[in-house]
Amino acid sequence: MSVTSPQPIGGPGTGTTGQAGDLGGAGPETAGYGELAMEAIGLRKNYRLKGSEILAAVKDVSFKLYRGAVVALVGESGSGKSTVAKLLAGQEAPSGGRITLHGMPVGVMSRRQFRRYKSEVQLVFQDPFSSLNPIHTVRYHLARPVRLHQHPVSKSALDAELVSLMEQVRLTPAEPFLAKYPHELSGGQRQRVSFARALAAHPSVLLADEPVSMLDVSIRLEMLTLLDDLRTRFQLALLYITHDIASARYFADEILVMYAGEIVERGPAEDVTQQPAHPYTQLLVASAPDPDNLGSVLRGGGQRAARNIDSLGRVTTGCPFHPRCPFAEDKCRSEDPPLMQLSQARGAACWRLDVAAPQLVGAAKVEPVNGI
Amino acid sequence: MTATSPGPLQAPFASQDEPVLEISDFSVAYRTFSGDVAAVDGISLALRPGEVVGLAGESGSGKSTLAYGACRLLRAPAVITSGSVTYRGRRANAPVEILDKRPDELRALRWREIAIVFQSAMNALNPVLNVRDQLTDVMRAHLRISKDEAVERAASLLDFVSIPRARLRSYPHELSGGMRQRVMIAMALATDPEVVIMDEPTTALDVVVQRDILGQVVELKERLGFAMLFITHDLSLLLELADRVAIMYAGKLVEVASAREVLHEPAHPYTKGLLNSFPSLRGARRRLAGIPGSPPDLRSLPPGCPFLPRCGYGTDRCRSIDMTLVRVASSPDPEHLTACPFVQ
Repeated sequence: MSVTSPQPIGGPGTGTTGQAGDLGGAGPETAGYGELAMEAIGLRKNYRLKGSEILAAVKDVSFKLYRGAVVALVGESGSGKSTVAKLLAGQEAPSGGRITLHGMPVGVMSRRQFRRYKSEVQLVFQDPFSSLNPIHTVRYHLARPVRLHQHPVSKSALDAELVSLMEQVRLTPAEPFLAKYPHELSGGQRQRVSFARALAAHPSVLLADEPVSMLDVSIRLEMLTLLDDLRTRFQLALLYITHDIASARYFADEILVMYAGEIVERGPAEDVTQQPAHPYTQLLVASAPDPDNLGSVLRGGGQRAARNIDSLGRVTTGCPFHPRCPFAEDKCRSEDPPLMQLSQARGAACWRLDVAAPQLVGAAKVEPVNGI
Repeated sequence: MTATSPGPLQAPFASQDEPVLEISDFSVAYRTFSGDVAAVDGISLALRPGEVVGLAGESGSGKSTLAYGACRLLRAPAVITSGSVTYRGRRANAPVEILDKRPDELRALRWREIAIVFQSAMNALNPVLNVRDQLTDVMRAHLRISKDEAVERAASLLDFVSIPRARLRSYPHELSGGMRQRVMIAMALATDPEVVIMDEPTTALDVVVQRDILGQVVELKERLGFAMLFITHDLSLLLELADRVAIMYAGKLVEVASAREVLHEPAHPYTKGLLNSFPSLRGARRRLAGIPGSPPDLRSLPPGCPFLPRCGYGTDRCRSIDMTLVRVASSPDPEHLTACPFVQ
């Protein structure tokens, strides 16, 4: 391949890694965030289906989470974003690749190590209606992780910690809320309890899987603001998993766009949403409802390329997006593109960036992709 | 805006062309051991031929209860406590009072005249029937056509919603979420209804699929000329899609206006709050405020305006207003109505 620019970075099979992470605009040197908390290096997850068929849910995913920074993982359902969260949380074992926490590799763990790991890496789930146990009070939900991870010396120390947790998530006055059962709380209040439960372990990494998408629109913003506030206060490294790229624009420092198990584009949130490079990101941005654009694309009939294919319709060769891509050519059908570096902080996995995003590639530097 | 009050209006959309569906002073209550809970409270809303009216509100605001109630699809403990629903279809010789109909008369009306696309296509489709049988069942029940004609029509309906004809033999579990939703839409259109009610038809879908399906729905609407009541919690989507938008809060309408007016000159504080809750993808980053507080508990609403506890403009006099819709005098839209007489 005789492409001079954009350059592939951390291509599949090379197993590399540092580079892909260096892309992250959230590096300490660039934006003054905290230390590196967690790193995923060439992460893979295969699920065995009926017979000998294999579903590659996550393919060669690499990124870094820094303390105090938010990385958003954006993609449609089935793109593998929740699987990434499960791998990082230790709920599933990766089929390939590595995870490091504070620079130490994460592997097979003893029970004690696993508990330590759990106290560092916490998950918040999408559905606050099913993630809390209906037969237990809020106090029970919070006291358990506090006892497990912090070993309070006395009942009064435990109580003080519970009240402080409730105050962190602004469920005040704390005492009456601690005595309530989940069904006595609104959806937003329940999600606050989930946040408090995650904080009870004093984690450094918080994995939030669609934390607001089950909530009413009028309170989503407030919850995201709370989450933002918590990450600043506790210097959390936050992975924000969402299908809503508009909220990622407001909330995240870096955006990773996933499609069919691969990261197809990454970069600073504002750049990715305002000047998407990958054709899939472009489609995603163009499809988002846009109140500022009254009676627009919908009336014109909208996108036609996308019909009837989603990322679950598995593509075995070439770029996973090629059946939906308006720019696809022969090479796209035969070879899966690696992430190409667009700038210091940005990358996109596309052979056709010179056509899809000419303004980003810089026409002068691009050599035509050689004939296939 | 100054809200001059020409008194309560009978129907917000009163105009020269007669509405195909007219809901007046409609109320639904849920009977509980501790008394009635008013889920829908004195709502008047009209749908003109070929129009898309969007009904927006949070969960529990009563938007689905309103739509199902108007078709008499609610079961106990929900009871309709007041109001009327009038259907004026081209095929009906005289206006039909839906609330006065016997069950067998309702069956003839539902689907033939008023079709509904339900929120969860997975639950709404019969898992043991293939697509062809689902579609032909509906047609055979409501239209006088032969089996062959029904199959032929089912195939052309799939063309309408861009599903390959080979899928006629597929069962619901073999289809993707987007395809199931398309089958639901095809089913709703199978009998050429005049009114289609869509209850969050794309909420479970990805934005790309959502836009694709809604683009098709709008195309079909232009072609077939049905009127549409579109229910969603996603105001940003509604503003793109609907001609008029009605905003519900705690079982009451708080604002009704054209999509343009709602976007540019929202009158009610709740509408303003909703508009300020959406992160927008395009344009400069705005400061977003959201709406403080929690959604209302219908069992214990404050007197007067139910939005008062969360409203930034609230004063004591809000405790005594009766939420009557009044015209927004400063609005160029003569049918721009708000339930808040105070906020400018």
